[in-house]
Amino acid sequence: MSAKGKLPTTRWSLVARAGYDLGDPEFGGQARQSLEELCQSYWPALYGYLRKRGYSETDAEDLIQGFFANLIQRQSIATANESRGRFRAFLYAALDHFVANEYRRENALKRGGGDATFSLGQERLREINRRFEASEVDKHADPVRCFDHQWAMLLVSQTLQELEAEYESCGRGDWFRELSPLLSASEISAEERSAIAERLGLSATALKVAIHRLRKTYRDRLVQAVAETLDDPSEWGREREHLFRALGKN
Amino acid sequence: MTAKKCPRCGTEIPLAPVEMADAQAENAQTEGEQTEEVILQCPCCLLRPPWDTQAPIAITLGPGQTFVPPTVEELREHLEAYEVQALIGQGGMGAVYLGRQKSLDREVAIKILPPEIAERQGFCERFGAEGRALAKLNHPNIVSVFDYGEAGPYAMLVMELVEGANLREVMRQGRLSQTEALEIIPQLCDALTYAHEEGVVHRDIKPENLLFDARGRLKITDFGLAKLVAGKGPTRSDETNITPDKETEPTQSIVRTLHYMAPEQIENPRSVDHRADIYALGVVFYEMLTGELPWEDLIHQANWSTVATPLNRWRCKSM
Repeated sequence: MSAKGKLPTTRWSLVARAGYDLGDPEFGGQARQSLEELCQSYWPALYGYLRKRGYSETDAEDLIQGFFANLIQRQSIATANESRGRFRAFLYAALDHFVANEYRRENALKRGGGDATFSLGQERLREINRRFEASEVDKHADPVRCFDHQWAMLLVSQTLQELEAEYESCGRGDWFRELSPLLSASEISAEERSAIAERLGLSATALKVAIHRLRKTYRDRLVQAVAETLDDPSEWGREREHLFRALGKN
Repeated sequence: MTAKKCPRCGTEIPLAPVEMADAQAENAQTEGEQTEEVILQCPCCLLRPPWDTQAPIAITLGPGQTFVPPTVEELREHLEAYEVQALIGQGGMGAVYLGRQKSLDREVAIKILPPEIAERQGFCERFGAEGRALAKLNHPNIVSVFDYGEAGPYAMLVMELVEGANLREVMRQGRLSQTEALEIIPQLCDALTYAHEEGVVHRDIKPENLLFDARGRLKITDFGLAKLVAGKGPTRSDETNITPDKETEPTQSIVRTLHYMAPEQIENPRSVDHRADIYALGVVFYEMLTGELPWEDLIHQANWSTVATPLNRWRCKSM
């Protein structure tokens, strides 16, 4: 078996492979479901990108709903060669195209062009809008880099939130709150370490085990989140480096 | 509130509404400050954390050093009594999977050895004898062996699942304090004494084989496995587990394994007894307390072909 054949299937690889025929009775259904799941996971990055580019709450919301409704109801998604392997690049190219067309039409009445709808979680939407109250619009920034920045922020924050929910669900929310600052830090002083161990009722060694477990699980989840958007999940390291550079320049 | 920059990499750290980080907000409010926004962590350091670097690992070389473990689905086909759930570890001597023992509904660790080992002449008999001996070890600081057998082409050991960290991973968070070392050392000595009294020699004591559970309790794993993997083949190259493949470039990780091996174990792997474990124990203690390995400079300065002889000479002088 080739190395490629042993790669696990990602949601994006399913969509990309079925891309030209989402209506196919055998594979189209599964690919369409994967596409919808991906859209539900990643719309906040696109919304954040539009807000950063200066679109109002209402315009950004309209455009995002229209864009995803249009995307999901298509019978095929012809991916450009350069974006075929990455959901991020595909979405950027498709959104750019969609927004340009909408602008030309200068109306938002028939966005989506059919019966399909795409619903944005209102709680999440409020959360993002609150963030943008304190954020500056940057119409002059490189749009691709701006998009990638939003994408990277989303991946990191969703990974953290999912991990926090996991810890909460098994009654370890206090562990997460105490230990999560160590995800972005190298090491802490012996005094801080002792204080955390005492608050959590752990021995010195047990605290190190708990830190290791949190870091390992976080890393696994982050790698999984990055890989899920790639046709070839083994490319996750390169994708992470790309996003890292996008974060650093903004 | 103005945005802050990460003290480590200088990236601007975003602000977030309070509901996104309740705990941090609560902390701020207890100090009397009505905070509308709190500082999140540095996104760059979260995307590529400072601790996420590849660490050298002491790999015990065996015939399975190029072993590609089967996927979860592939292994499932060979096991009925256990439900294989995930690949959780891989080393030079095999791979470890998270599994569930269906009959007792408990989580277990399933270790499989490469087919090259299982196919050796006489392996099944030796594996059976060793498996029974290992299953008799009953000590709170030794990982229990529940079952052994075959899973298709693989030899399999089913063990107690320890969800924690190994000593190497613990040491990566910084040198151990004397207090921490003194918590660990008695457990290690106690477990090894017990095993030796039962007539079982570990043969591969190293930080990767010393696990800690969630409570920080030590658990030694892979008792006797090195002996099984080293085998009893007719030629020297088959019996030793430290000679690298001709095409394999010696790496730091491979060389590191030598540090834990007593001189007689390098010279003649068949003849080792409990004293080899005590030697390795000494090296582990040294590393725990100093953060370094003995002889590290010598190893770094020498190339592979010249390591074994002078290393042994120095070790013998020191003993």
